[in-house]
Amino acid sequence: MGLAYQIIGKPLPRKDARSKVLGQAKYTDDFSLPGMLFVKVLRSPLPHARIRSIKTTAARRQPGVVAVLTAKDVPGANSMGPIIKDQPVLCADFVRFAGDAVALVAAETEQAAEIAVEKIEVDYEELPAVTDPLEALEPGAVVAHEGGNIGTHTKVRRGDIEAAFRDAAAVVEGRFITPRIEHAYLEPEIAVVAADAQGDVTVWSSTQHAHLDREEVSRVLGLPQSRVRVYQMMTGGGFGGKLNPHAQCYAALVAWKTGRPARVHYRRDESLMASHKAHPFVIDMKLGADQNGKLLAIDARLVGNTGAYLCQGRAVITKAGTHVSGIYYCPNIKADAFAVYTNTVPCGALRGYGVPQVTFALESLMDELAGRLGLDPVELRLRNALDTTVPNTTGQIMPASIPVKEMLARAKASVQSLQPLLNETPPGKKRGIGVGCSSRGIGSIRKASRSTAVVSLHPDGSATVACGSVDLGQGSDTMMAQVAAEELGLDVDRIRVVTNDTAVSPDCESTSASRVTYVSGNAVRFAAAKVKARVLELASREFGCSPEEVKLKNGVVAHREQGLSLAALYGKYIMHVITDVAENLPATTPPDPETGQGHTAGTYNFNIHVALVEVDEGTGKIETLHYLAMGDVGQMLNPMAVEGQMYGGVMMGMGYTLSEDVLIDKGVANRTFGTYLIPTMCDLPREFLIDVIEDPEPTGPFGAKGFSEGSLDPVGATMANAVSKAIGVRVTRLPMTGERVYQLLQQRK
Amino acid sequence: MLGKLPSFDYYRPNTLDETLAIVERLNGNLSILAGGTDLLVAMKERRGKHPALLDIKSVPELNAIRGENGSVCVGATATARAIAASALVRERFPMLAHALKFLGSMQIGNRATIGGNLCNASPAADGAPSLLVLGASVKLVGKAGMRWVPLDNFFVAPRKTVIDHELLSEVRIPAGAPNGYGVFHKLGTRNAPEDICIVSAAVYAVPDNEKKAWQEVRIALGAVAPTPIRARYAEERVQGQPIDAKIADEAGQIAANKDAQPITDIRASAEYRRAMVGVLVKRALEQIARQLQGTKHT
Amino acid sequence: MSRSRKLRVIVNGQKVNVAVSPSETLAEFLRTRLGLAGTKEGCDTGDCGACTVILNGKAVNSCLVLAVETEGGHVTTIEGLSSDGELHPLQQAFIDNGSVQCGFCTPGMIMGAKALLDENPNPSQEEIRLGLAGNLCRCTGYVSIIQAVTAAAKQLRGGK
Repeated sequence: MGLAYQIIGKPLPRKDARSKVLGQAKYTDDFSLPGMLFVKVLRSPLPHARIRSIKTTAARRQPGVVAVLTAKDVPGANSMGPIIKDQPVLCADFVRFAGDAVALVAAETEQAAEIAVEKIEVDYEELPAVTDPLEALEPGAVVAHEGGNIGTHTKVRRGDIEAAFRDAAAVVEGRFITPRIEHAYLEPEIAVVAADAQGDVTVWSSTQHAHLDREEVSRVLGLPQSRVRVYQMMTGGGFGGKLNPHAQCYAALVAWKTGRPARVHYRRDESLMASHKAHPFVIDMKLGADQNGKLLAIDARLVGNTGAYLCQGRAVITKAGTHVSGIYYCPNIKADAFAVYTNTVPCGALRGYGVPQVTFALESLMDELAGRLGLDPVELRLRNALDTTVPNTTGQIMPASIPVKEMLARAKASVQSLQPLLNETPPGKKRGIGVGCSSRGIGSIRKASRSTAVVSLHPDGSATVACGSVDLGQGSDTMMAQVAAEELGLDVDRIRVVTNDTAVSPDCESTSASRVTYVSGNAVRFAAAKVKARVLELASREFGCSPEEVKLKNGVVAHREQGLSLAALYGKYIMHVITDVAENLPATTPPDPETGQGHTAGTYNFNIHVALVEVDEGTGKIETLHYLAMGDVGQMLNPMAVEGQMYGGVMMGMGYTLSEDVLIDKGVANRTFGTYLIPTMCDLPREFLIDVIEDPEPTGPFGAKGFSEGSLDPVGATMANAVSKAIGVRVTRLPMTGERVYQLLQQRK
Repeated sequence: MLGKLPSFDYYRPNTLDETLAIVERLNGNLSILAGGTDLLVAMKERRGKHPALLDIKSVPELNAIRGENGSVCVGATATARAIAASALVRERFPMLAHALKFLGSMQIGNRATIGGNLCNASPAADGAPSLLVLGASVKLVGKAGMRWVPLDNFFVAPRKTVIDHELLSEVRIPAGAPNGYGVFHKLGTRNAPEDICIVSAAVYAVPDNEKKAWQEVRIALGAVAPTPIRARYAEERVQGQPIDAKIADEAGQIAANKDAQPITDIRASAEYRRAMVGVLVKRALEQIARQLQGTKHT
Repeated sequence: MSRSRKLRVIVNGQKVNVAVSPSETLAEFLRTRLGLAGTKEGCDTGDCGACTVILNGKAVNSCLVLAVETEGGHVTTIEGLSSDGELHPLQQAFIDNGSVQCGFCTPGMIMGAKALLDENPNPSQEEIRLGLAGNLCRCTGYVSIIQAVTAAAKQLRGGK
């Protein structure tokens, strides 16, 4: 803020926008290879069964079929998963959800594969299944997963909640339920894999982590990673869902067995029924406060339904549990968060990753508390807000960039400006204003992840950045170019960013957890800074001055009246390029297994939203008259990208808030975009504003921190608080469909 | 599971006679391809058998929208959007234009046809309630000749009509009363036009000369019975009654409790649907009442 | 296998004369037969709009149109929007307004907007939303898209 950056802070269209508007950007379905086979997956129709036998003869005989593969055809490890690898590539003995993969058919045409897959005969012995996570926790419940139904148990322990609740002047509690959500990226899952005569394998995929694709494919084929190369193609959205390289593994198996390239492409229904979802949660929470509204205690049990396999369940549950006190300081906390197995579609990473769910519960109860104590809801929040002097859920006291109180003050002003509209409510409607607040630790919760970047400065004053955090469309490639350009004194269009090739771009772990700007962006900056330092050092020798006195701009080093092109400088020292590498590992510690305490994130991102809603008393339908989303980003590197993420995150949040719910009837019941309903342009708030707060984060690149999930985190809470105010009944379940609100309105009578 | 389209024989005749000849020759083993927005999805989902597709979009007389005395005749292959945009329809039957404007997205509306919407016979068909209250009839042509069937008698069961080796060629909407007024309301999960309705209601009402009582009221409901239906109990109750909020409310209640037979499905529960029938019918009548106090229909 | 049929259609101003199977959808025909991969397939059921092209002047979901149904007609895809490398105002507006993130909905969205503006050169915000309700986007939250369409519409009207 106030610093004169050349490129940082300027709105910049992303580098690949032109190719996308021309329809020239290459996604994985936009090319084919000679001899390519089409692969279809046979999936279990039953939620829980033992496989007695699989007969593939009839399928093999179908015209055009080249191979039919089952578990015994997996040469390496028959397991996959981005963190916990407990999902079989192809089920051998048991299927654990309706959608579990049992066999693959590879054929010359897609039609042939579709016909053949239905000819595979599987003899199942159906077993009892459990779909409700609370039921799965009961003693004697059906065992959905070997070893018992609890996949993980995260604890947070601080102080003495029993004593605190005894002293509390007000205690509020409730049970809050959030839906199972689908990512609904416009591009469904897809991968193409080819093995060459040397036995090297190439993967082209829609993915959030090309190096994970490499890891999984190599494990499944029993190859060293050095024999597998992955190209991330233009990827049509990820949102956490493309961290599970299943299509890549299936295609790799076929390519390996047949010696021909293979494509796996999910149609929309397969994506809806088989790909990982967001954990639905049942959260029982209790808050206790003194008569001034100061929080004394939080007691919470969070049950996340992780489905048939754990995948990222442990991390999601840990994230939720370690955010249980949100933007507040609370001296006494007891939280137990569980990932519970059931025989339903597995749940894993989805934008938000447990925070939207726990935020809904906490923020709803804060409003209840405000009502109980007769306090203004924003005032109550101000009295408990984090700043640089008090610890958050995991015990961290952050030294900088905690603009919570400023944001709450703005929320207060917004609420005040909206109050008069409450008096203009038309007959048959009810209006209400709500506020929702969230906090999010940037980066992965359970284990630190390191980013590595390589920067090369060419003699002609152009540069290449190689860094393995892939761009999903959120604009991270452009961000890296901006960071390098700023550091090296170049125009953005003289920077080439390569993030999509595992042979060139170092592994930075996944594009997830809102971490790319904060962790990888900084790695790029450090690498560029090292390159610059070497250039300045060489130049200082030429000019006979100190390196600090040398300016580097547009490929020219200068000192006073002396100037030298990089080409000339390099030529003198027989350098063809100056390349350097840097790593960035934020100094974090995982949460303690007993207390949940630790320095679990390098920085936190806060989001505070305000909504004015109007509820139709007859139908229960909600209209959002006014929505304000405030996000704390540290420093805007690119206002255009920031706005895009914020509007996008809010609207994705409106989905789980109003209309999205993956329903289970044996397997997933809503399998098209006609029955799984994501927000359309007609579902926008009437007035929709964003407000960006810049309170620089010293440990981030140019003061920036992550925020890509943040704008989604508080949407459910904000809207539920507004609706609860409007109808005079507490909303405890999302999504708030017309029918659910109608039922609450009936309760009121 | 969704898949590629299966193989089929494709016919595209240029005249009605050619069309009927193919219908007869294939003896029921064919599917009519008009807009394709329902049929192609069904085929991709492997619902039903479709060994032959008969594309009727190249037969000009099936596409026309024309006036005939006071009525309007709409060809089977006229698209939802074309009908909604037709000056003739907008002037004479604004409710129908409105209903078809919100039948689906712009892309769907540019393909979906009125013939297809009726013949597909979904209980939630967005074109049906308006046409029912407007007293529409459909012309069915076949080997035996031609017959007019009032739309009231056209739907038999979900996805089943009285069509018997025939082709629906035209929909005729008779002239309405000069002071008649129609309203169509559709309730969806989101606010998008493409949402399949949870409940829909069309009301067409004619007031008496003093505008104090309902001379004639017709009410039709979508998505709350095996087919789109007329709410005859509600209609009976309202006929001749004062134009006021109490009657509007009663009409809604009767339509909800006596006429509607809703089920619970992926979109909503039977209970909610029933309650919404009450709300939508009441609001439609109230809206018409308000319009009557103002100018003529807008 | 369906018997193939001769198809004559004009695609992006070029005459096309090929044999196709009736079972080929227009989306498949454009993408794999003509190599025009700009049109995307997102859902197969006409619910997402990613496959939107303009057929005989009207926006349609090409995944629900058979290639053979376009006989004698004309189709415009995203590839046909720019001329001689110069972007159409809609394309430029999408870039300038940050309306492109992952880009998968973008071709369909732009073609939908083109069809909308062809019919209605001065649409209200409400009309834009209704017109493009059938084009889903999961990334942008739509606001920048509406801004781009509004800006392009103004430019196409000569700045008024």
